[in-house]
Amino acid sequence: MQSSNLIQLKAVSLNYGPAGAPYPALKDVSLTVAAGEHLAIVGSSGSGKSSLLNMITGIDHPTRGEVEVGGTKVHTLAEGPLALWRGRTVGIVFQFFQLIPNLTILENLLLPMEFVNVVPKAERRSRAQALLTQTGIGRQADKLPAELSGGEQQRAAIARALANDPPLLVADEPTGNLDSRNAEKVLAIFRAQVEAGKTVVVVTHERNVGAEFGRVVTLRDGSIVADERSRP
Amino acid sequence: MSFQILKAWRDVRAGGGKSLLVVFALALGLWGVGSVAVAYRVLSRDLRQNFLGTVPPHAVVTFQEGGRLDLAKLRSRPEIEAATWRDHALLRIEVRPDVWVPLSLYGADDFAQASIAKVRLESGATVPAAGSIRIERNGRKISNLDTGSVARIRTGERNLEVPIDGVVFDPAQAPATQDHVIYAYTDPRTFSALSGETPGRRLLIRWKNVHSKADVEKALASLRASWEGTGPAVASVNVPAFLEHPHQWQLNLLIAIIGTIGLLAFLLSSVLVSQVVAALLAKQTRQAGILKAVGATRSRVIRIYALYLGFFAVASGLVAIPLAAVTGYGFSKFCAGILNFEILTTRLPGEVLAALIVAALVLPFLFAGPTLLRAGRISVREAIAEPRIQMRRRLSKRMIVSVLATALGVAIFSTGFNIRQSLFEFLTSTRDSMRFDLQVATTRPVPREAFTRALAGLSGIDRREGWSDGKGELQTEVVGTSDGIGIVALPLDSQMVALKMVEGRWIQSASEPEAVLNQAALQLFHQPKMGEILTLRIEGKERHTRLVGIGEEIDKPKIYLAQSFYDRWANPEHRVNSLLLTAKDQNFRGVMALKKEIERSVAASDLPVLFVMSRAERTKIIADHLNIILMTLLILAFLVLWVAALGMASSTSITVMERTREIGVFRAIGATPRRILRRFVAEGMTTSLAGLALGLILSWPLSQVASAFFGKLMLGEGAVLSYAWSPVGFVITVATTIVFGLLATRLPAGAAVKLSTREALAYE
Repeated sequence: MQSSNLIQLKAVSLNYGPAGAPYPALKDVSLTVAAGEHLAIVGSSGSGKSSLLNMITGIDHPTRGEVEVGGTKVHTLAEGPLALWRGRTVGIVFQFFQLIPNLTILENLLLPMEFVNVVPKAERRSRAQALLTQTGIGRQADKLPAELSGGEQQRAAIARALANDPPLLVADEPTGNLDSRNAEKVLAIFRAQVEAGKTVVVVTHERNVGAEFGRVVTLRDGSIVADERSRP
Repeated sequence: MSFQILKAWRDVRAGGGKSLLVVFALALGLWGVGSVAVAYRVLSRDLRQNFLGTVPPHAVVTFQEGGRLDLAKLRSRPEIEAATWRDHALLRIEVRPDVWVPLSLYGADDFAQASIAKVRLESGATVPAAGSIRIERNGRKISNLDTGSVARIRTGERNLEVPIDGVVFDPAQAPATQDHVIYAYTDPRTFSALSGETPGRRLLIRWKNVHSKADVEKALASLRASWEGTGPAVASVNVPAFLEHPHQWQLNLLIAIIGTIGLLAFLLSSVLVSQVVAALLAKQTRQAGILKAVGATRSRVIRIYALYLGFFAVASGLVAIPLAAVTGYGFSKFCAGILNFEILTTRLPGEVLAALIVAALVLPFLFAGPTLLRAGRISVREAIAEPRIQMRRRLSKRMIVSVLATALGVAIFSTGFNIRQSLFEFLTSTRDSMRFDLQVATTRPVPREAFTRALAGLSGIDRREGWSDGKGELQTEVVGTSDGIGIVALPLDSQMVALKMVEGRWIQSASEPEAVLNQAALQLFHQPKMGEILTLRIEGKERHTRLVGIGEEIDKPKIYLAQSFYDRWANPEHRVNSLLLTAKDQNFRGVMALKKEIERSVAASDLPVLFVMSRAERTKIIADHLNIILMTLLILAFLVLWVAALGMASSTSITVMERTREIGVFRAIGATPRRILRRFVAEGMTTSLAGLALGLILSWPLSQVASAFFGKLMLGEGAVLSYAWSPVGFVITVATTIVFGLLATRLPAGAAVKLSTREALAYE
């Protein structure tokens, strides 16, 4: 079921490089994503899909255009409020997991809760443990990231992204480093999140993965060239 | 525990060797600064406290006759705080069989209860036995004398056997080990019996409410005015530097050295620490980005890394502060031993401890502040991307800093040697300025024939020349001084001295009185101009003489005059109190054999001998004064080079760690560990050699400045210690830097190439 728009990108352009000779990563991109959507952004390497994701998460700011997520004009936020907004609103899953190596898996989940302070203190540990169980790595809670397999680390990264119960989950090439069995487990978690009402946006260059999603946006040379919805 | 603290702590632990390196580098800097701070605090306070503890006099007045002043009446004057007799005579004492040194003998009846110029009994009876003496404790280091032994003392024309019934501690005296003088104390009767002088001639005075030498001079002038006409005739007055130990200059020099070198070492280590900490924080950049991605604000990221640095700060403080206290006290005790005073500050002063704690906590933030702020500022995208170019930039920046740090270390080390060379050349010049082999000095002027008689029959003497010494007051139209200045009256054509002239020329006029001052006199006399007419008060009369030269000499203030004028003014009987001799056999053994013969002859004669001293012994006395300074200078200069080498080792270690993956890639494409090691060592040695070259170039201006600075401290205002290049220092500096550079590169690189290709490629 789709309701109001969660993400709105209006004529967003992003240039890298010097002002005299800019390299355009995104060209006048407009995109609307409704709450509860299961969206894949696909394209070849250098097409601008990670840049688009960075616009949505506030990791990068547009050169031109507007980015609004959950009613917040992300591009106008200063660094501090942006970090807090991100912690509350967006769960980010990176291609290389990016877990804090010296903290256990459980502690990796508790850290964002401490930063954002939306989950009551008394509930944090049980919530973290529940998320790990939900993603199938409940028994690995007290291990360090390096002690887990790639698939387990990615599931831990997803659990961390869900720590503050954000309405939006974004993932950059979440299966790019995984074998097919682990990739399937990760995609299953995303499906479950969509079913639970969250909006999930995934960047991938794997076209077959795109088929898993309700909507697939294709980018080429910084522009959206296709926006397809699968049949209900 | 907060997960932020937990993360910071785990990062420190996970850093392993790198974290230890940071703690080590921080501790090293803090230890250096801390040692200097502790030593500075203890030395500057305790020498003064020791000296002030003796309740030193503000002025010393010597009367022409003894027993003429009513001491009780003087003490009753409202402005007088204390006054006492402390008679003084210069005799001679045998410290070992046939080895004699001057004896500085003090006579007073109230040593035990003295309210001024106090001495402390260390051994022996509380009440001294009549006819005995007590010696100052430092004298034991240059003699076989101690409580219970019997000393042979030359008293005028005869030798007496005098029992030593105690040892006292008198920190107001210059150390016997440096001045080669025995200080002794006795009652007025024994003093009179030994010296032949009437007691009650030499008066020590302290005034109430005086705060400077000028105040004392004013009070003394007022007191002397009250004696005009009715009081005893004053022979001389001496107002020493206001409440200052006679060897305060050595301590000032030491403090200047340790302060200057300590500061440079601190700057050096701070640069290196900031590099190491920055490198470690740079490794955390990606994590800073992740933290921001999961909701951490800039301030929170900074807080986490501030905690991270805080752990290093605490660890380095825990290591360095006790070490600094130990070495600071160790150095202070070393100086106290040499300068003969006691360490009174037994507990680390609170303010020093507080300063060290603050330094330990603040320094890492000072060093790593910019990196910390950068970590907080970095955006998520930059942090996660972390382009390799950033690492390249860090590497080249670190290499530049390593070169500069090595250069600074080399420059200071080399400068240490150059100053040492300057001092050696100064000593050599001082020795060469003395053209005599032996000097026989008497306690009072004697007719020349007395020397001739005493030394008759000695065939080893080649040439001889008699000098007269005296004391005078020196004053110009604008400045006057009541400090005694040593007058050395010698023949115009003297063959026994050739002072190195800093300015002007040696005395040569037979028709006009000319004078040459040494540098100490120059300072005392407030830098008179060449050609200026100096007014001397000799034997109560004013005499005028033209300043024609300034000679380089480390000694008490002296003025050299032609004997003919001095004799006309104050020595009509042409008496002399110094005989300068050259030996026929001028090698060391020959001179020492002649000295022994002279000693035997004068012991059997009626000559009131003060000392018989060879040129080598006189040079040794000067060298002994400089020894502590030379040693400290070299130790500290070596320490700086050591800090630079350790810093370079730290820097190389970090560089090698950062390039571990590169090592893996090299290995994967066929490079042998040996080849990789050679590559790293070659890179490290390039840095070392560049630093060495730059440091040697820098040492030239630094040595010039330092020589001028130390010359001024040692020889007085306006004096310059000539710059000298040390070839030995050059060789040692080059060799040490190359060895240190090799070790600093070889050790960390050797450890890195031991990793397997898989481990190296997987290195984060």
